Order: sequence, then structure tokens, then C-alpha cells
Amino acid sequence: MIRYLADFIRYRELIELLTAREIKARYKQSALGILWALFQPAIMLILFSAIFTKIVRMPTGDTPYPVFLLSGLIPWLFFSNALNAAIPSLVSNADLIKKIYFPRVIFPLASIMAAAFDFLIACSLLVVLLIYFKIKLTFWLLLLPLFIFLEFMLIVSIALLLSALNVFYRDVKNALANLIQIAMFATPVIYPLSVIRPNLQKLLLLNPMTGIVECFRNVLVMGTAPNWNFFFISAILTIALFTTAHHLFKKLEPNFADSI
Amino acid sequence: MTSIQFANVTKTYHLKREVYRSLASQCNEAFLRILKPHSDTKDYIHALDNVSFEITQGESVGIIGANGAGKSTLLRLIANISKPTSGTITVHGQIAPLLEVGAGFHPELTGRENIFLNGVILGMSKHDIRKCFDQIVTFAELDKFIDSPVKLYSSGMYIRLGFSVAVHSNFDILLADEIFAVGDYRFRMKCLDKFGLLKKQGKTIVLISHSLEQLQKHCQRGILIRRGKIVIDAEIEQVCNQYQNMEQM
Repeated sequence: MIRYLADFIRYRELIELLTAREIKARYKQSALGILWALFQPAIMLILFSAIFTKIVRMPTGDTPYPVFLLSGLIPWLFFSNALNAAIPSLVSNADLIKKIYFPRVIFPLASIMAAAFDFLIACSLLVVLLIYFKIKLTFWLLLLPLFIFLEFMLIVSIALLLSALNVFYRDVKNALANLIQIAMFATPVIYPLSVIRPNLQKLLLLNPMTGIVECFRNVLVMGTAPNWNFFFISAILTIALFTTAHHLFKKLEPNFADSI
Repeated sequence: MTSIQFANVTKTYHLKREVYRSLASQCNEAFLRILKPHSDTKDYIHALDNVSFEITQGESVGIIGANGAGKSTLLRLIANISKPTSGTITVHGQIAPLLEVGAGFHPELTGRENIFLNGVILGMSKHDIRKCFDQIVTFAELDKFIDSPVKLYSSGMYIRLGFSVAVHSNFDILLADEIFAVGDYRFRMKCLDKFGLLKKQGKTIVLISHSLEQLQKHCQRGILIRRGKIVIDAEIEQVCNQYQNMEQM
């Protein structure tokens, strides 16, 4: 991990420019430009809020459903958008990988950073909602960067693992795109964990995003202490994933240019 | 000082690896291996076979050989893009790999943005690029178009920009694969002048070209490769002559 940080600093400018390339390329020649980053969470917010307040009531306690939803949706969309961009990143940069050497880790990292940029834009929507529903903020909010960092590391781990495998089996990308859509329902994004049967809850906690989304929600809209048990479960899973992913990536990296 | 050193370098490619391998075909292969355990030896190809040589700093070397002789594999190994199957490669200094002009350009970004992106990819810092930005643009003759997206560039403009960024990066070793085939006559002459200048600055240059005339003009030394082996490593005239004789036979 220290080596990654060293690479990160050494290749800071390269990561920065590749990230900028991805963001700029996405929004160039589009009239709405950066507003598209707000479109996706907004449309899901409207859709799910309509269903779960007008058609079926979702028991979210004192928290208005739209705020409850968005506080889970925003970290979730970061997770899913980052992975959907990072996993094919090595293959889509094949021309560079075959022509120039620098640590290959930079490609998935730049994709994740570009998704992080969209995440920050989407956060502004959350701020609007927090003000509109007059949610009281507490000092627990200061822990938010910790959870963002954990989520970032989780994304990096999965991205390293699967982007490397995607070089050899393009099935990974297709399988994952579908899997992520399903996984949203295995994460307490649109529903509170409390509506799930207790033994099923334990199963859900094996999904590292469960703990992260819960912690986000705790400090952001509930204004309470995060559930530290959930946090540590996610953190341990992330560390285990990162270690595996790191070793696999290092092992496969020398073969990328020959196999891509 | 040694710039590039190859010691008993072999690079083998598994032929099946070159194409996409589905799970089904891998199962099939595994099954065949059980049936005929020694049948897969000819699926391997030696792109380079026990190659050793040394290039000292400031030398300009031309790599000559027919298609598929292993020239590009050689450059890819020097550039650390792929790893040798066996043997060791030592490289001292920053490399500017011109294996494809403008690799890493993004069509939607402007010329200016692409100069920064490409420069950083080649190992420059943004500060370095800012310093020689005007030189790069002038050399590429793109002053008027530098803020247009490169997707609107003609192929000549694209190549000029890529070449210009590469030769202005602060490299020690320039690797170039068939770059004389591009650009119009005037720009080619300009590139050749630039090459002369780089040689004077003591840069190491490794060129691949099918144009023996160009190689003779720019290299002192030639390495002739045939089927992954070095046939002759000598003065460029001698190497070119031998290549011509070999081809005529």
C-alpha cells in the first residue's frame, strides 16, 4: 500500500491529466455538460421517491424518504459508476499499454478519480435536500471523509482485481455490469436495514457496501454515531480484498501488453 | 556508458495467446494436452532467440530485418512494455518510445490539452512542458489549430504533433518504429535535421526502418535480425549490403 502511495505521488500529474481527459472527453460536445452528473441521481431519486412514498410506504422513521434514499444512493452510484468505468479501463487503453510503459494501476485509478468527480457534483444535490428538509447536522458528520476513504479503497480493490482479469476474459466486464445492478438491491440503498429479517441482515453485511452505506446514512441524515461494528466488518473485508487484488494485479501486470 | 544491454534475451509468444481465448477453447486445449501431451510445442514462436548486444550512449543504431523478424518485439522489450521470457535487459536513462506517433492522444481534446497529456505520459512534468510548449507548437506548425480538438486534424497534423512532443521530451534514448513513412517531404526533412541535432546532443537513438537509405544516413551501426536471431551487428553499410544480398537470394 505504501508503494501505491509512492506511485500515486510520483505519477500525480499523469493521474491528474488522465482523470481530466476522462472527465473532459465525457462532457465535451454535450450541451448540458457537467449537469449530466446530476441527472442520474436526480432521476433515480424522483422515481424511487414516487414509488416508496406514494405507492408503498417505506418505514424510514423520522427521516423523510427522499433524504434517506439519496444518502444511500450517492455513495452507491459512486461505487457502481467507478467500477463500470474502471474495469474496462485497461482494455480501452490498449493502444497506450502496447506503446508506452508506466504503472498500469494508473488507468483504473484515473477512471475511479473521474467517477469521484461526479460523486462530488452529485453531493450538491444532497446538500440541497438536507437544507430543504431541514435535517440537523451533528459533529458526527466530520467522520464522513473516513467512510469516503473506505469506499474509495474498496472500489480500488475490486477495480484492480477485475480490471486485470478483464484483460484475459472480457466476460468480466459484461458480467459485472449486470451484477452491479443486482447488487444495489443487496445493499440497503432504497430500503432501511431494519425491514430485513435478522438472519438475512447478517448475510447482507457480507456485502462490504452495506456497512459503508449505513455509516454514510448514520452520520449524514440520522446525525448519530456510525455503527462501528458495521464499519469494521466493511474495513476488514476491504483489507482482505485489497491484499488479494494487489497480489493478483502485480502477478498479471507484466503480461498485459502481450495479451490485451 | 552503456545505454541498453541485452544478455541472452529470449521472447516467446504462445500463438494461441495472440487471439482471444474463450473458456471453451481453453477446455478444448486442456483436453487435447491430455490426449497428446507433447503436441503443443510448435504453438510457440521465438520472436527473439538468445539475443545479446550492447548499445552505448550516443550511438545511433538501425534495426533491419524482414517483416516478422522480431524488430518491433525488440523495441517493445527495450521500452519495458513487455517482459522477456528469459535473459536480462538493462536500460539506463529515460526512454521516449515513438512506437506509434501520438499514442495516447484523445480525439475530443484540443491540441493543447493533448500536448500536456502526451508530454506527461512521456515522463515530463507539467512545468517542463510549459517551458517548451511554444517550441513544440512551432515545430509541429500548428499555431493556428492548437485549441481545436485533434479529431479535426488531418493525419499529417496529428503525426506532426505526436512527433514534436516526443522529440521535445527530455529523454536519453529515442526508440522509433517506421516514423519516416509518415509526414510530407518537407516535414520529413525537418525531422531528419532534428535527428542530427539529437545525435549531437549525445542522445541514443534506435531506429527501425525498411528504408535502407534513411538508415544509412542516420545510423553508424546496424543490427540485422532474421527469425529472432542477430545475423550481423556491424557498421551500417556492411549490414545494409548483407541484407540486400540476403533478400535477393
